[in-house]
Amino acid sequence: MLRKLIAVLLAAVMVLSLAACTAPATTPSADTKEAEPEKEEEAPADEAEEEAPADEAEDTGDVADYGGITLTFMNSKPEISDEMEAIVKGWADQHNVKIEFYETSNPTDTLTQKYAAGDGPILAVVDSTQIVEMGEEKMLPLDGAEWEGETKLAWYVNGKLYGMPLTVESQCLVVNKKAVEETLGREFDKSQYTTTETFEALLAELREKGMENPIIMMSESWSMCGHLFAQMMNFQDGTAQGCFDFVDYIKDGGDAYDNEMFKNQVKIYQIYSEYNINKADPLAAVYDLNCSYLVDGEAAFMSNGTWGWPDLAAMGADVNDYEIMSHPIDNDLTGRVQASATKFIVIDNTIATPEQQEAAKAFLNYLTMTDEGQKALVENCGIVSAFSNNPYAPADPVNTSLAVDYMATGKTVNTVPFGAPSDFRTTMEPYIQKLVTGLGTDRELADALNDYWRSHEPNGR
Amino acid sequence: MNELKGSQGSENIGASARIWSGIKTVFAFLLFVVYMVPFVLVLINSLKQKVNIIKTPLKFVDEAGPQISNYVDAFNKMGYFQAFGNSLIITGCSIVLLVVCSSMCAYILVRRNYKACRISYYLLISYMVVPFQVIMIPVLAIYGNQFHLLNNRLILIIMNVAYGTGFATFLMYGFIKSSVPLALEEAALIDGAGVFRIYSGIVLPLLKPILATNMILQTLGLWNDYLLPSLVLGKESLQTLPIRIRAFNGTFTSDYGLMMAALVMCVTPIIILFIFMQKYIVGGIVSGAVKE
Amino acid sequence: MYMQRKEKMSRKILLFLLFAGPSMTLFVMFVIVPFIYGLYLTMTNWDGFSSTKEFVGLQNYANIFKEKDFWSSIWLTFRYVIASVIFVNGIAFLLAYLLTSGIKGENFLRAGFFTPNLIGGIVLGFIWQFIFNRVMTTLPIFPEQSFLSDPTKAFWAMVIVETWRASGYMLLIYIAGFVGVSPDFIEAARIDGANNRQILWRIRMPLMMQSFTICLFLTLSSAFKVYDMNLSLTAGGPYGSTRMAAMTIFEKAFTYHDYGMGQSEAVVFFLIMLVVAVIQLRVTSKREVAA
Repeated sequence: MLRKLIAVLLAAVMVLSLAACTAPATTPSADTKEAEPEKEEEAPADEAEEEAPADEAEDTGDVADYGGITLTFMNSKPEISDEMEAIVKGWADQHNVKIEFYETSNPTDTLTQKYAAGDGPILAVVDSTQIVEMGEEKMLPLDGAEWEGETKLAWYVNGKLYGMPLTVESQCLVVNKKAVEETLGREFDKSQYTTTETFEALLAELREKGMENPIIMMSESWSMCGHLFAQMMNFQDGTAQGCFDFVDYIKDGGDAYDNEMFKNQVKIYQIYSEYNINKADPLAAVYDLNCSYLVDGEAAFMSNGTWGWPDLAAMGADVNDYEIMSHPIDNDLTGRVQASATKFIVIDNTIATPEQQEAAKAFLNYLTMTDEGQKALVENCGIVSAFSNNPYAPADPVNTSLAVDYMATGKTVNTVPFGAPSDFRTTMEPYIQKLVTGLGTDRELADALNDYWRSHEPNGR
Repeated sequence: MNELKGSQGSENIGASARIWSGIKTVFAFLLFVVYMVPFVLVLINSLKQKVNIIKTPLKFVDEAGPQISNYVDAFNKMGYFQAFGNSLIITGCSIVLLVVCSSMCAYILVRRNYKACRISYYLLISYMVVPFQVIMIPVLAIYGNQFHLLNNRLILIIMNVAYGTGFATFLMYGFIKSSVPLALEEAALIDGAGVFRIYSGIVLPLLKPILATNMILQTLGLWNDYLLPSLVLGKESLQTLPIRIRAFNGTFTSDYGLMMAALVMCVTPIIILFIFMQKYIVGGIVSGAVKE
Repeated sequence: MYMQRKEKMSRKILLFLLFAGPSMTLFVMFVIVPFIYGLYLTMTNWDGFSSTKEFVGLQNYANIFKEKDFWSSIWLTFRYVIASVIFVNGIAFLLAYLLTSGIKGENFLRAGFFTPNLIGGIVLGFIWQFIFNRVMTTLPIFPEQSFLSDPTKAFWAMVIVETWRASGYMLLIYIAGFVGVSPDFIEAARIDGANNRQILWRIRMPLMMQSFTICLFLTLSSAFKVYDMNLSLTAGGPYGSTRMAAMTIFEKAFTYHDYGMGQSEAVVFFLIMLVVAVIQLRVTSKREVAA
């Protein structure tokens, strides 16, 4: 009895001292009078939780106990939010950590607000953009992490490691293979249709055989004007240097209009517009309706990416019918898909205490170095791991296709760390939309691109 | 309410007037139907599967029958009771404080011609054209980064009062100026009553209609408010209904069924409140916003 | 009158603090102080998150004159404000006229027209986007192309949504104006031989000028500030044709990390709005007639 009492008291003291030194980070309200009722509510819970793992640790001795500290976790990948939350909380329960989990679909704005309020997330799932812009200022360098050697896709800024790659994704065509084969009446081998010429012929054949508009071009700006257009720089020669060279070529007075990959890209827009199932109104296409077109076989190719599977599955897509395919490219990179790590986990370096950073690092190790974490990430979240030591294969056909058809054979393009500044897409958007709807020309698009790069610097140089 | 009706009643004489009145009724109801269309769409689609919302938005009933599951899922996913409780506490406390503070403030601004009163009035009015985003980052930097006051319902309530003061005082100012007779107050003054006694004993009871109007208009605004609560309430356990609804808008796609069901559940309490309080709203604005 | 009575300075201060103190303290704390801090930030090159910033004086303000995007969005916002103010007030006034003319179900209709105010900004935009893109395109009476894929129609789509949302609110204030006009005036005019139209234009409207003052002010300020609905309904498209001032400014401040510049633009935009609002209040207040 006495022992128990002492344990409780010790735990309470520990909680209080932790609350005191982590106040700004985890319990910002703890030092305000107004919050006292709340604090009282929390305290007994702390003590109760405190006790159990302490005993456990005595028994097992190998599960780290972080003494009930709180970690905030920002997730910017809403489509796997439930799964991610379950993984984080599962880990936290084992290690006596409390998690405050929140999601955002706009990590830049949310991080700006959170940092302004002095309440940056201790762990955050972010895009490379935020690491480029805020990494050195706000995030913890992770050099020498246990997992560093297991991946080539981690994000570095000026030689320092900041982002643990969470997932590999590809911007590509998602194919309803069954629909293609049924329409064609023969086996479909995507390797035959990797250039604009052959792909256009395929589309024409599909149209002739009854599938009027086999392509789904999405209207969302991030897709039509972001992902699709980025390709024209990524596929210059498939390296970051190639992208920088292209920018320099423009800066030196060169004209994008004369660039082969630019012509290729314009051709892609033209083909996709011609065979677009949303041809009548390309700018008002609805994402979910597009998914249902593909699943119902009204169209066969969706210009989207590997992240789209849950949305297709929600429409009743059959696992056996789908694969991914490269956009038609006419240069040496033909048949390759763009694939890179698209989300990264970072750790805060502004308000996080050493204890919190330790725990956060341990969580990253759990995701990358333990069987349980690796499995949960791939199987529960349905993603492609960026780590060579992760033995698990993705469960869905789209990610499997990426892993087997492209990554395993080295047919991918990755131009990290090249990146366009954050106003690139909004600047180019009107010209791309006009090209697609026929109100503008490739000449105008090239001029806009020339103007842009002559007044902006690319990221990542 | 009755005196609001039929102010043009004397015009309704003769057959042509009756036809004209009929036309007006039909026209008003037609417009009403147009106004209601979005609500009907939300309601019928909240009972459908996602696929069918997208494919057949106009169909009244899902081919598989009404789907209650959207409501159940949305209810669970958004933690409805907790979020509802938070919304209720935050809106309720903010409203009471706001109405008390701003009615007192409006009273002194109307009745005293101090320089401080005039300046205060112009500041409060000017704030009505300031978008909140203009002061958002400074507010976060000062009260979050410097004083660590965020993540707390009380601070949100206080901020709601601060940001609602402009509009609330503006409405009350007009009402007191036009509808509270000075003679009553002067009589009380002669009887030796202090200013606070005059306010609480004579003025406040006369303010009932505009207090009700204020309460309802502010409730609508606060109940739906998203930006400020999302900045102040980082913890899930503190969050209000609109913040939880936003969780149904993903990066790529919106969960329309859940979103619409959640919307219905969020708006219904307010509609019920509105139906009960309706006559006060109109009554309050009638006597408040307009000089007689 | 007791208002004009001489009061001691100490009593003045006490009274002001007692009555206006709570409101004004909070207002100063959460509006004025942040606003002043915001003014200071306009004189820096702060990116919105760094711990360092340089003082650049009035450089940002000087640069605003060169910002073509900013001025074109201001011009667009002006056109949007004018269109919204006309439609919101026109419809609200018409409805108020109908709903005070003794037709059946007035109370029910008033409540009905008010209900759109119950939906918040972002969700409002999503629902109307769904209606424009998915519902209207399938109805034979509308063109097959969504309103949102045509620059002109997308602009009007925003005006339609704003009208739908705000007119029920203004309706109530106009109703207040209509019933605020004493029936005695109407009777007197009728006896003098005025017809209905003359009564409306010469008697009612001048006497309810205060309703116009308030409604115009409220519609002006909310239309100028439009952001949430802009973002979720059109996202600035198509072809970047519906990027209103608030959207342009906040994008610059938050997404492009040029906070100092974005905040300067916000201050200039605020001053423009203030000038317009003051002119409007002056002009319409002058025409208010004491009854």
